[in-house]
Amino acid sequence: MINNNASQAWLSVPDSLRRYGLALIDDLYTKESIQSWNCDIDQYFKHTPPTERRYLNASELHSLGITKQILNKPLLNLINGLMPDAALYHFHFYDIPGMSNSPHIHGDNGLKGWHRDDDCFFGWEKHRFHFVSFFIYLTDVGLDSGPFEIAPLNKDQPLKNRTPSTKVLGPPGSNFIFDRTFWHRANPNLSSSNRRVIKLSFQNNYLPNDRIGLEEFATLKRSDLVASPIIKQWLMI
Amino acid sequence: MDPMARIPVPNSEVDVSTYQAWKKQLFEKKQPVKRLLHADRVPHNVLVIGSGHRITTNFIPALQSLEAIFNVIGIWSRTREHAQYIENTAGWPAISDIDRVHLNAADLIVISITASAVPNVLKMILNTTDCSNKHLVIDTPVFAGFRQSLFTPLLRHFANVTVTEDYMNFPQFTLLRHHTNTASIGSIKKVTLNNTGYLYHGLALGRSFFDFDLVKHSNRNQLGVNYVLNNGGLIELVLPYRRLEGSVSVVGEKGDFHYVNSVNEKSQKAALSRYENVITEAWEKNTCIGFMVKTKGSSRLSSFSLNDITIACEQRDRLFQQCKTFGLIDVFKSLSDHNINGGYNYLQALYDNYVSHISCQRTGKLVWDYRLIMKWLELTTLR
Repeated sequence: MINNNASQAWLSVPDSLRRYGLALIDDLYTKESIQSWNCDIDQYFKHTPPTERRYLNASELHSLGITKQILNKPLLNLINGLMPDAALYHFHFYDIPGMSNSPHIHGDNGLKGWHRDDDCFFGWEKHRFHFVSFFIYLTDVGLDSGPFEIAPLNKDQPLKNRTPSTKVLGPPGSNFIFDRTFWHRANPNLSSSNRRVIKLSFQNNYLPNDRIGLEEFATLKRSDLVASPIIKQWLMI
Repeated sequence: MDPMARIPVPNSEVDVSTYQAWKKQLFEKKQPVKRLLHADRVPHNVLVIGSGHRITTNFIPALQSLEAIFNVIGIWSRTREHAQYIENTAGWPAISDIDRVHLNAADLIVISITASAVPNVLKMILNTTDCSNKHLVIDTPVFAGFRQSLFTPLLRHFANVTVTEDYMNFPQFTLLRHHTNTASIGSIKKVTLNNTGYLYHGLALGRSFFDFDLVKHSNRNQLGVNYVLNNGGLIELVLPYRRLEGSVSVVGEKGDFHYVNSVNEKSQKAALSRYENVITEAWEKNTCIGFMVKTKGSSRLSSFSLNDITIACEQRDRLFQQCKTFGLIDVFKSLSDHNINGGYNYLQALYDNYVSHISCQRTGKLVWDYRLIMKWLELTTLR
């Protein structure tokens, strides 16, 4: 998943997150699922010009009927094991247009897009995770197609030049979790095709969460997804 | 069994400008501090350390006016009688030791003591308990002198540190910042502080108009100090400092805005007739009732009051203390809300302290080498 020289050594997800800020999970989804989601998304955007950035919020993803497949049992168990008091605050699909010269997020911050997310400054208790994001690549991501990159530098460490970092490469369906308090960035997508990703972010439910009240999550709260007690907790019902 | 993850193999490296990285680190400290307090745990428990004039004059009224948000669980002083006096007058329980029980119960630790005693008190606190989930509120200038900057790493053991730079939060300066943003004077080019702002307070106030940009070079002359900022902005600090008897002029691309005091009635009247945009103290029957804001011919009174604290007072010295209390209230409010103080942390405070001291002491032009400043910050801020 990571690159051609990928290590086959394994580590528990919490340990990997603590040490590297990143946990490379083995495929939680089948190739067929990813293919089917891509088809649904293509269908949704059939009238959108290819140059325009595509974005689907939680409600729109739900209307495509894929939220239940994304929130499958292995993912529920994975996040619940990591953060038993998790609350959802991002659940969306977006793509990065190809032929871009700068990272699509914080590209103009003078640090080539390296950042730690603003909402993570609360993360003070070192023994636990406060803010994590889960990514699912929907397209093949190589060195030139805007891979996610993370450095093993947490909130106590400044960004330092020449720190060894990891660009997460992989085929469609590759998924990983990262700690949002670590320095990370999206590389510019130099390739000709868009990079597609589904992103979910979680935080502890006792922290301020000004997103869970958004209308996009109201649809999920009304759906049969809440039959699962874990999802019910994630949606703060 | 824990789910397993493949160990990531580094396949690249961070490639950024060291200067940009350090600049980012300094400015990232302007973090939205409201997120540092648990939203569902109000009021926040506060442990106060110190019992001097500053505590009795400013901290007690400020914290009492915010008692819905902050609950003082104890006050410690090396002079037990002083703490006892505060317990009797303000109702804050005096404690004889900074013990684990009180420290563990506190969300916020407020330190207002002699700057030179700060390192020892910090060490005492950090030796007693883990402060990684505690917010420290500390008075300016944080530490006394350059040598004590070596103790800066102690501050990194706290979840966050807010510095009570109340001077830049004085009501008249807050009004001035607000109106310079809304009065269409264009982007600010120059801020002149005439007899206003003691050393680091002056630099902090000046930089607050420029989003806390850093100093590129400074020039000490007979009148005072000029600071040229990275973005080209100019701060003119005219010495000596005379508390509330000075004035402030903000010059933008398209106009200007002024704050004038009312000590000299003639100069106040002259300023009101000369300038289009002016803020000045409003006195009625020997009592200051607020600030008059005159913009393009129209005038209106901005009075300040909060619970039982009002800006109204009869003596200029008392007005100065009231302004400090209001400034302090803004500092405490920045812990749960956004205001200009939210961006002012210990790095900013130490920066202002050292840059202003060196700039004022050395006659002539000083070029502030970023690399040296960043190196110094690196040495003093890392664990």
